[in-house]
Amino acid sequence: MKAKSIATLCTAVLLATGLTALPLQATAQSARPIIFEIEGKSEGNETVGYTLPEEKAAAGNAISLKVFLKSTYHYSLPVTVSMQADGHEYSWSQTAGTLKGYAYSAADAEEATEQTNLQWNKLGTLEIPYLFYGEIVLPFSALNYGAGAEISSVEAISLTATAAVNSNFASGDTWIVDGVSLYLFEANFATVEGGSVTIGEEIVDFTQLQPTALTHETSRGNCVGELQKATEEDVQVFRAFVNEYNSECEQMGDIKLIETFSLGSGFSSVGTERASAEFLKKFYRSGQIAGCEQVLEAGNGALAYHIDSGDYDAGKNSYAGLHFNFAKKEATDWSGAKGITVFVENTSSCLASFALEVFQYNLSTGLLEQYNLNDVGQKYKTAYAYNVETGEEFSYHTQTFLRVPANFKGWIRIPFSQYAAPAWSMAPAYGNEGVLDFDVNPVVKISMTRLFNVNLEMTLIIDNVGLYYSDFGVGSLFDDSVPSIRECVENGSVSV
Amino acid sequence: MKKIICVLFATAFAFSLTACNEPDPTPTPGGDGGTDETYESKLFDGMDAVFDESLGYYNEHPSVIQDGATRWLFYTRNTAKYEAKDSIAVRKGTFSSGTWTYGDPITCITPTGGKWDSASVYNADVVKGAFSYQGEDYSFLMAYSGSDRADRKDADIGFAVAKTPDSEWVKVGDEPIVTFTSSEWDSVGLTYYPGAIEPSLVSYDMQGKVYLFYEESEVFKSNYAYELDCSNLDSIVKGGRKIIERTGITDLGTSNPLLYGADYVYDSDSDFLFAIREGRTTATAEPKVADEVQVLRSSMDVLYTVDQGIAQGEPRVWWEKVGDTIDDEATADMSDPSKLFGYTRIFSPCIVGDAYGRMIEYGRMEVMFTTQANDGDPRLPADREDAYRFSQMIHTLEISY
Repeated sequence: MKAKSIATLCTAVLLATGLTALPLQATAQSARPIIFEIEGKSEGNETVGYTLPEEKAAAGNAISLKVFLKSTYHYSLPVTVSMQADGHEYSWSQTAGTLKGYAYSAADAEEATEQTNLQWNKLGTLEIPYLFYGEIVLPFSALNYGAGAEISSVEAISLTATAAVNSNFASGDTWIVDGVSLYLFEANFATVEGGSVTIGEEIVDFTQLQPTALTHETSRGNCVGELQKATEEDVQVFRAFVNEYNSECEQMGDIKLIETFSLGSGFSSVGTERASAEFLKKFYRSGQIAGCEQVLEAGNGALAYHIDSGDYDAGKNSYAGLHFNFAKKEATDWSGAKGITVFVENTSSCLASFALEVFQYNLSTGLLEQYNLNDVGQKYKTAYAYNVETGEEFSYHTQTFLRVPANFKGWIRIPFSQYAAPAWSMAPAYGNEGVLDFDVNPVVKISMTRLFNVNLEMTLIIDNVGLYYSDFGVGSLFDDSVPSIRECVENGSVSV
Repeated sequence: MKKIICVLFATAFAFSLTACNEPDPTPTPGGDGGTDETYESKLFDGMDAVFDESLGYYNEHPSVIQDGATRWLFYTRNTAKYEAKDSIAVRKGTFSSGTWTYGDPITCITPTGGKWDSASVYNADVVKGAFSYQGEDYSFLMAYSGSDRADRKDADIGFAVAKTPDSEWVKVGDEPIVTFTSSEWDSVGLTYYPGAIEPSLVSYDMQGKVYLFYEESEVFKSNYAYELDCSNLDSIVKGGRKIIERTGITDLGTSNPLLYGADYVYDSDSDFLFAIREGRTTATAEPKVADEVQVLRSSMDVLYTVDQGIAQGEPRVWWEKVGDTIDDEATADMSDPSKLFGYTRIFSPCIVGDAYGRMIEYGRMEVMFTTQANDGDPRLPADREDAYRFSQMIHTLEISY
């Protein structure tokens, strides 16, 4: 058993959120973790557990679980952490509020310095955010729904992943693929005192174990998940994701690119086939037709989003949903931006469309809020376009589904003023407050949804999604008091 | 109280006065063929037309500019009686003794065989400025709809130029300026596409820069303002093409309000953009056109404002109604017992502006519009089932606000 060290506590100011940072000292990074992967699970939970060779006396007042969430079917992965202690089964569960997490700022960082609030959802499970790499600190005082428990020794520890989507997301989508991949590094005792956390004695070091040392169960049906020992390539992928997540967004003129549909430079050390697979895993899908899929092609750093007539069931009002979270933490900060912009090519000679929906994570309610162009109070929404091939700039009306003119290739801008919470999401069951506030709340997810019947066999090439920061006009032939879209893209700058 | 005043009752303001030519019961020169034809009266259910022409000739889509003491009334007219052969014609208006009188029609343009406008040309609008084309300087620019279909569907918009309104008009290029391709919008099998229609020109600088307003029948119809520098028509500089927001426009029974069939003028004093438009039709019998027209205005900012950033609350209401709606009641002639009901088809209006597409006088305006007989009206010739298609007339009223 390797030795443990205790970090000196300090506080730092974090990013724009203003959260305080409590550094936790990490253990060695060279060993390979256990990867818990679930593909194609539509219902039921799956649990991975570890029973200690012998019970271990509690060396602190909390457990800290070090994980990395590489992929999930939504913004986060709902999990329940449990332990067998003093002959009893304990689980951490709350239906509101947050739990402290501490993220590492790099794959080889020795301290977890960035405090992150991990949300308890209304079903009592804890949401691990997409690409979270850090320590989940679980105080014994939070056991028994906050009543706390005196723990003297621990015998086993387990983590249950919610495989079927029924979290507190403001969406009633039916998910087709879950695609969970959770890296398990270690679990340690920790001491929480006031606002400080100290990592203590090791409970289990997953990097030193083989998958056979762990149990794997499901609450319903058969287990479809797998426990794997990370390969060297898996570790390279992990390092690439984490370092990409903590790098800055690229800029282009007055645009901050929040999704380039390209893997970062860190993936250059990963094989092409694996890198391509990782790119596609980033996207998770939904739709009202079971089995419908979009054809995704990674090429030239763009996303080909195709609607295949073979998946179309005319008997249903069908749509295809393609969703993604942000590969960079900075991409979640939308403060100061004036709108969203997307570079898109409609390869067909007919109008195509897709909904570009944004999901604000409401920090006060802990709920994900959906916003789009579907607004009963304003039927027509205005989009602004710059065709890079013809040079034409124009504004036009659109509705829920953003219209992309035939053969168009270029930038489309949508001011945030055109976004609203759809009426259904304002129902108490979903809890959308309907107020965009990017100075307070991050945006964590984007959905691109397409109707089948009007998009059959049409492909959209989506190259970049970004935020723009400048006022602009539609061309500047008559009025040059504000720059044109082209001028913004070519000569603008990102200034908050 | 209605503020509409039939210009039959002349006021002291010359610009607003219009005389209605008396019908000529004798055989008249008809069409461009110069053959004598028997005059047939159109159906007058209300006020007289600004000029009279025999049934069998449609007179529709007026567009009027007043250049000094002269008016030019452009409109769509068929060149042969009871034959749907489009032309854009112009009549010169002169003011005398408190009355505007419009002269004989002069054909400006007709369809060009083998081209995009090979079957129809219609709905023109003209603006004065400084334009050059193929080494010649011109002072008047016309925008018009055209199609290679006789039913005028799938229309595009093209340009023509002339040195004076009644001189030769030269079409600009072989291709339209605004192209509409129905297949680009037809993802769900729609078959009815009017196309790019209702062009309306307003000068930006009294030189070569113009706004080209038009309506486009996309999946749902939209109004656009296209910024164009036409100083050199051999190389038109295309600026922004801007959607015209439609908040404030209301039509009963539809969630798709629009500036249907609109004509625009700009008032530089107030910085208002005025538009006269058709009310959404409720007609169930042919012709299925509007039964009223109305004037609206908006701040010119409607063309330039981009609501950036997060906005909570209701969107800005851009358009407000000006004056009274012109409907059947407004078009009745109470002095004539046979004309008390007014017209039930009132459409394709225009505002009489100056030569640059600007308001002549703030506070009141003269407007013109088209009326048409209904299919099956027993007063139409019994031996011509399609007579109503050739019954359009142009009338005028003044709106004060």
